[in-house]
Amino acid sequence: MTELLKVEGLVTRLRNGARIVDDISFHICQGETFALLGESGCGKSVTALSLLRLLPDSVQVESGAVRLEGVDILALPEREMREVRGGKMAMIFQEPGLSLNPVMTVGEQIAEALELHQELHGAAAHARCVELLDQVGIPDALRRLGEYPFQLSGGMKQRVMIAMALAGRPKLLVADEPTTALDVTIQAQVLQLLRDTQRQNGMALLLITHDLGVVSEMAHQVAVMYAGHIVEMAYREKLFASPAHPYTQKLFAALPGTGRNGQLLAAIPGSVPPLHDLPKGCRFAPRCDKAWELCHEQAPGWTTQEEGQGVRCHLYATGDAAASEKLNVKSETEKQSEALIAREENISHFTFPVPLLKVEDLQVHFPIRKGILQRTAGYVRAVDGVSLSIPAGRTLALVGESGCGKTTVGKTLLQLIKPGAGSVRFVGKELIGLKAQELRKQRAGMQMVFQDPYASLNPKMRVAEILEEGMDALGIANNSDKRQRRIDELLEQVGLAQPVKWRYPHEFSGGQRQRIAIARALAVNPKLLICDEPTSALDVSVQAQILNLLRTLQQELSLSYLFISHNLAVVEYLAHEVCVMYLGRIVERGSVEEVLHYARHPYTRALLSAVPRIDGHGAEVVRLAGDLPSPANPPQGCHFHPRCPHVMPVCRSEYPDATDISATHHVHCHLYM
Amino acid sequence: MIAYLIRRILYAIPILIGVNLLTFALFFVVNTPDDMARMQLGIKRVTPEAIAKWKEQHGYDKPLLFSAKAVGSGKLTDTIFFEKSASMFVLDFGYSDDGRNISREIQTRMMPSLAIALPTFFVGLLIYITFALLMTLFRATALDIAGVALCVVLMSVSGLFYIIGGQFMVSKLWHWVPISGYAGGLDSIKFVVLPVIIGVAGGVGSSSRWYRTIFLEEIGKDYVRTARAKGVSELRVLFRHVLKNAMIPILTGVVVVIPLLFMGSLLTESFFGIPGLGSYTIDAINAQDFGVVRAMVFLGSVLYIAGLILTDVSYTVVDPRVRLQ
Repeated sequence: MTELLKVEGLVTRLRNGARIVDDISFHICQGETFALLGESGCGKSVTALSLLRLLPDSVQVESGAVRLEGVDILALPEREMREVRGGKMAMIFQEPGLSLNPVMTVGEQIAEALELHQELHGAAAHARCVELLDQVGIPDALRRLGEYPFQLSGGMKQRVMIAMALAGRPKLLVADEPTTALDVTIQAQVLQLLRDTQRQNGMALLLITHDLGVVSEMAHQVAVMYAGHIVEMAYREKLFASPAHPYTQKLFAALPGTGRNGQLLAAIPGSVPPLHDLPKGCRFAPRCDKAWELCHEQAPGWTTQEEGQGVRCHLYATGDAAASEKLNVKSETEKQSEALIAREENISHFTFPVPLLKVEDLQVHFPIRKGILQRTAGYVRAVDGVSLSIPAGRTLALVGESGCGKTTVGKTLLQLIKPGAGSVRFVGKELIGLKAQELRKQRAGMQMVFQDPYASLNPKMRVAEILEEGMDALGIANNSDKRQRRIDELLEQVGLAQPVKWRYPHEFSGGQRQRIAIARALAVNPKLLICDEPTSALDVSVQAQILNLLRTLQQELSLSYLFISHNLAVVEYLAHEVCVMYLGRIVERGSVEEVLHYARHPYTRALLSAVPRIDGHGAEVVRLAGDLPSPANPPQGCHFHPRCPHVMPVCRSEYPDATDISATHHVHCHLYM
Repeated sequence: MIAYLIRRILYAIPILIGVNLLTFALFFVVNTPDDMARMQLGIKRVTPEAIAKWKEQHGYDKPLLFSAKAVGSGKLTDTIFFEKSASMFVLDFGYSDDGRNISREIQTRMMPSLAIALPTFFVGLLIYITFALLMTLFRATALDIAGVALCVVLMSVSGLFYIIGGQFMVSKLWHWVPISGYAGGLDSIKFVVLPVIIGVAGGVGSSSRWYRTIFLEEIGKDYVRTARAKGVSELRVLFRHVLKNAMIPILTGVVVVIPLLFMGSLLTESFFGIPGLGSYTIDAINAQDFGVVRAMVFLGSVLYIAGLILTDVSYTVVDPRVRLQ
């Protein structure tokens, strides 16, 4: 294959010094997919922006060469570089919602690219726009051209971005986390589209992602980045079969998923080092359990293993006797796992006669108001008759795509949103309709951990104040000494050192903040934690830390969790029971085993098969067409029928009742009636 | 959208009643009808009878807010507040203390006010945005820094300095235009030029700096990066992509003042002797003429509410996401 892009010794740094991308070399062949894999802050996006010379003002390329078809594009004058951008090399971004100009129509934005690179104007450009939208699978292309980005769903917007990128007939498409902001079923559609267009146009793809599953589905070659370096480069098959670098190995081990149910995840301790304070030796050494003295003192060089494959690690440097010994060291986590399994077995002999929380037929309808007098014209049925129960010490997972109402359920249980109907009984006491005073007392029993630890902690309060506020409000540990002792205890429980007490949230990394958020929730001794996507804003290695923490806390304090998530792997790791939600209703429920391995509902199956798996090549894939319908106007009959591959006439007219598959497994689907 | 506008106009009624009540209360906390009569009658001829007669003539002989003697709805309507306020809702402002019809006075004084305020507004907006765009285009260069420094200097100087300094140099030393005064028709141009230039110059600093911040914020957004990734040139990014998006926050601050242009400027009109609504208000305050003050406050509130509604409508023009319901 001919070499299309060759990057040699690329160094990109902040104007004030720190190197974000440090001496990176790789090449991409025509028609090939090259994946850059890494956690946030490791420099993968900056690498991509360096290639297109789109860096923000504060960042600049210091040295290196980027050759596209033999031409060093770093040396091109800006005018010629503009021809390359969107012409030979196009880019799509992570947030399709923010990446399109909100005040220009879809048509105008695609036409602009056509005008610049294909010299198409007027009717010819218009016709080509329709063609492009057809190509990226947008139905009713002609009408969509005149619409604005806000009128499209997230998946549609990313399709428009792809259409725009294809407008210049690029040889290389740079895709920066193209599906991270999308739901799994939509992610599957977009990845399929990328593969199809690549095959049709013979285009090369530089795919930037943090998701091993996406890499496994898409890439031919993979480069793993860590703190500005490429630490390992290999063909996909090789990387997934036998990852070489300890960091890569850890990334695989940190993934929750099949077969890891009873064990702790191999979390990588700590987090990616800040750029201005990189360790002297190997950048991964402080977090590596295989590191020895050499690693801390001397940065490892690049060891080429085979053509196009290599690793940056002392373990593989030839002729080092110490290294080969270290290759076989066992990790700490295995021992901890054994202890955990032992304790878990003790607990599972327990029976749970009385549910801690019992919810029946919960409804939350938000009114849509119209007209001069703001009369209610209809309702958004965010939650439409949800029933669930959580026994003490167990975890119930609520799974669904964005907009299905799962977060609303969580907030309604806490009575942060007043439900329209239904019953919420917590330890036998009805919460709905309780007076503010009474409700306050009950709140101590139920706490919430939110999705985004960057936004959910008050930036103007110190950690100790954040933890104390809840105790103060609910009158727990009512003297100052006791409270301070309790705060120390809580911090220790969530794995933070005592001196952090007097710091502000912005001084912590995402994972540490989520620990603080958990400590805040625990401060009032709750029996139930409602965790709303607590790890979706975190990197894989940090996610594993938090999941382990939640698991350990559950056993030590016999907490119950309502775990709201879209990530099925995480659910499988943590939950005992699972409810799958679609458009405000639960469509399937059962034990983890039943729902995730013997799923019955077509939606659950589609959801499961849409998740990119690192192991499951060639598995049966159910692709869902279309988007989630609006809960203001749900489809007649079964809500899922317009997207269902098994739709029958009866599905269009009647909503299916629950069918019992087993004593614990229930499904709402006409297939099983 | 029609339904939205009707609703907003209905909301305006309680706001206007409230504003009226507040003006009324504030005025009569420091003044009584007796004080007003004494002020109007002069010091010498004041007898209790004269005061009572003046109050009766001008309708100030009734209770302020609540009439205990009256029956039924008269308890509320047979008061100074009701009699003086109700007619304003049909834009009948009554008579000033010196016996002139306030509505007619407003009509004649509106033109000179607009002759100054409109050109100041539009010329100003054009210059501020152009200047801000230039600074944005040359961001983080010496030109940008010099521009910002100039803005800070300009906004640090008092508005009075521009007026007095301008009058001294342009009119007194160079004799280019008259120092103050006003004439109708085409003659007005020579009286209007200087106040307009000074008005524009006084606003350059703060407005340009503010717009520059808005442009810089927009230029850091993801859609701009997308445009650049398409190969769009920097100039085209600025004009085709950034400008229209930046108009959304700019409109918030700008459209709301358009109706208020009718009210003129208190300071400029007083210094340049322009017989507009601004100087009319100042004179009325000095003369404690409640009729005029109340009329101007009411007019100001109406125009301000109109400005807010106009702002909402203008959003629908620049931002396709906004639909008024």
